[in-house]
Amino acid sequence: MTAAVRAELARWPASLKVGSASFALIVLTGLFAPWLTAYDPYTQDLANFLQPPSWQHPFGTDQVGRDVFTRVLYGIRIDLQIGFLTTYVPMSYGLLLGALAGYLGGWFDTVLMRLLDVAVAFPFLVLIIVIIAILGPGVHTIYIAVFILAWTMYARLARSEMLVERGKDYVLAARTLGYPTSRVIFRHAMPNVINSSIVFSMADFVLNILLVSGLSFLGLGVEAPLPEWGAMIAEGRDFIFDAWWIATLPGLAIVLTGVSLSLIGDGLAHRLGQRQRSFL
Amino acid sequence: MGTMRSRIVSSLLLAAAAVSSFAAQAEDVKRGGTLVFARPEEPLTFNPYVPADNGSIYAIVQVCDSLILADDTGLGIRPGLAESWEVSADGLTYTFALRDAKFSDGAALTAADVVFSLQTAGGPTAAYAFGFEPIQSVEAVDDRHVKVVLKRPYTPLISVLSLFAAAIVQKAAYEADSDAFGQKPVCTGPFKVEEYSRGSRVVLVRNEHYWDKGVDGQPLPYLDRIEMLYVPESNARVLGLRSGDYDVIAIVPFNQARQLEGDSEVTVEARPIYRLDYVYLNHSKAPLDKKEIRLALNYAADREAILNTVYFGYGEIPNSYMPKVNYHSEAVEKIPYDIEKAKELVAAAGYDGTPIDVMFSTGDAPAKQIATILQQSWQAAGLNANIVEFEGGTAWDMTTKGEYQAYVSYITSDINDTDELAVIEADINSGTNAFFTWYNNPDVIDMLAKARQSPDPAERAEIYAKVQNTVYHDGYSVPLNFLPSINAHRNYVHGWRVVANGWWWLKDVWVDK
Repeated sequence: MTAAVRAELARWPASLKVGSASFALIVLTGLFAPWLTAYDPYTQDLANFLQPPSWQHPFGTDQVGRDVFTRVLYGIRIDLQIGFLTTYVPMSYGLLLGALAGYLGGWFDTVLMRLLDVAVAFPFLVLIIVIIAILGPGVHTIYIAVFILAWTMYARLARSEMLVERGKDYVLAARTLGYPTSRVIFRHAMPNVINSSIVFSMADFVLNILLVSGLSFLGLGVEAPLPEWGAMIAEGRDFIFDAWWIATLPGLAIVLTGVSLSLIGDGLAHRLGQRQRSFL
Repeated sequence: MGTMRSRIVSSLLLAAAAVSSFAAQAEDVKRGGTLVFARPEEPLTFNPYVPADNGSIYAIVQVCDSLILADDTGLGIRPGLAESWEVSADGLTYTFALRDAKFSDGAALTAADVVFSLQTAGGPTAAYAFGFEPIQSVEAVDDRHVKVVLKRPYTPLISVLSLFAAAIVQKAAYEADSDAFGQKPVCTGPFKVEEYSRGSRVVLVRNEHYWDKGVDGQPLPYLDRIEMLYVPESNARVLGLRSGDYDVIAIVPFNQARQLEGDSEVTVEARPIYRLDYVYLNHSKAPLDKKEIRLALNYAADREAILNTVYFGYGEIPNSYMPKVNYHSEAVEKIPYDIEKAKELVAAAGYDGTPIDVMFSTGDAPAKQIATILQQSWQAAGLNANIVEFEGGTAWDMTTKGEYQAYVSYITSDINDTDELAVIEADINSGTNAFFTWYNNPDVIDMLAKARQSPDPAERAEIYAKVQNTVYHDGYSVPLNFLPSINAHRNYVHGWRVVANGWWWLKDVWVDK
């Protein structure tokens, strides 16, 4: 470990350390899922259905005899993939559009902000359900729906940050030096505009996992028999009194992931805030 | 022209005597009180000529009587608003003698009401008009007698007249405003509608003009009031029953039934009804247009495993394409679970990998479980199966339009005669395209027409057995279970009975709280 890395780690707040460590553990568990379990997430064993947790099946088996532990592990891959794509794809163009609008102003800013007002005026979940009703359920539809709607928050954040940064001395200095606009925006202003979006993306990541879980719960999400956590909870709901493990353990997985990401978000806000202050 | 007394009537009297012997003794019965009843469905209307959903049907039968009624078990029938009837020797004219009954508003039942009701039931907008198609005319002989004339002999007529869809309504009230009638019907049944709030509850109160008598010699019903609550969440119904918030709950989920049986204050009953749970197959869509593929789906379905895991052992593996109604044959051989045979059939059909979408409705947990199990075994047989999920209304809409391949669902019969479902399910000209399967077998259609006209029960039994064998082994559908109805009530509820048609007679239920 180099001294620089050690110095950086020393400045990390405890929440960031704990959150990163547990999130890293979740990611690794997902990556190595096939080596961590002897079962397949899809193979049914109808003779051994609704078995309570035991040494053979640490999380028990579900209503068609699939190993719940295995399904929760494979669920990490699905849920994190969904969370990542539904957060960072909209963030990328949301940031870009917001930063441009904030820096350039004028008609571009006006048109973008009106578009944004329209998108925000509708309840998010209702719009998603409408889009799913038109295109049919499935993960790809959720991606399309979220890509259409979810960039607005990032655009708004980036725009307001950019409005502040635009008037600061270092941006004025860069402009006075005659740097091209693209360089001023992307090399100079953007690193400071991006911070609040990164912090927000952590919370957004959790909310998106919950959104997809919620849609699966309503039957509008992933197709059966994919081991998505929300879908597993929905299936287990009918057995909650006699087989609590089917719904509860995927639920705990969501909670654990959510807490890890929130801790990272908190820690990042703290750490990035420090850095920003040290620049000034 | 001589007349013959319907032989059904005498056997009815015997059946009635048998039932009353094990019914409650007069001194036991406690009158009055309220029954709180939680159901997973709600009525959409009380207009008997509109609906085809069990949520409405089961509520309508508590409020509206027909000329003939299902008896206490639902396996037989008994006189309703018709006290007796006579059939002409050629089997074409039925004359009904009306009972001296009153509507819930106190007005007397007249022949004009009966004529109007039966004409409306067979009218162009009625949902069950197909059952009344063989009727040539309905006319009043005098104020107390009504004559039904047929186009051709039609043996199931008496059973058809016991349908909720043949209910007798008050002509004046219905003609004035049929929409308002759907909210507040005026009929002759044991209860009348006091309050109807869509999405939450229906309150039924005693009709003090009801014609039938209880075991104590006083008019039925025993209860003063029924609160019929709409509680679609199955866990909520079970919890409500255990806590005593509900007196009766309809449809206990299978996984909780055994557990609920352990509660000493609650009685759980699983009663066989006219119901078949099965996978609808659309024969007009490839690859299901090939008989080999449809049979392969049947051979590859592990019904034993489904019975144990999904239905927790409740029910019976079927040997028919339709529920066990009166002419059901036990002799038809079941298609066994044989994955090797399924593979051979798939190979013989020259299957090209066209995917089969197995559909179920959102929220139907058993159907989802079945789809998951079938997908795995069908894939093992070499078929390419996907699971698709749609909201119930959408799924049904797609089914009726033929925009589906396989749909995990069920069917119930409303009458105790095989004719109704045999024709609906297997005759492509019945108005539902052979119940949305587009199954078309001219031999079967001929046989069904013959069975409809035959007055001889032995001949009808023989024909229906043949139809059952042919349709079932044509791979009409993938039958899964003759599913019983599982209901539960607290022990102070007496006289609770599920009839084979699927509903419950609430008129002689009483509570001793």
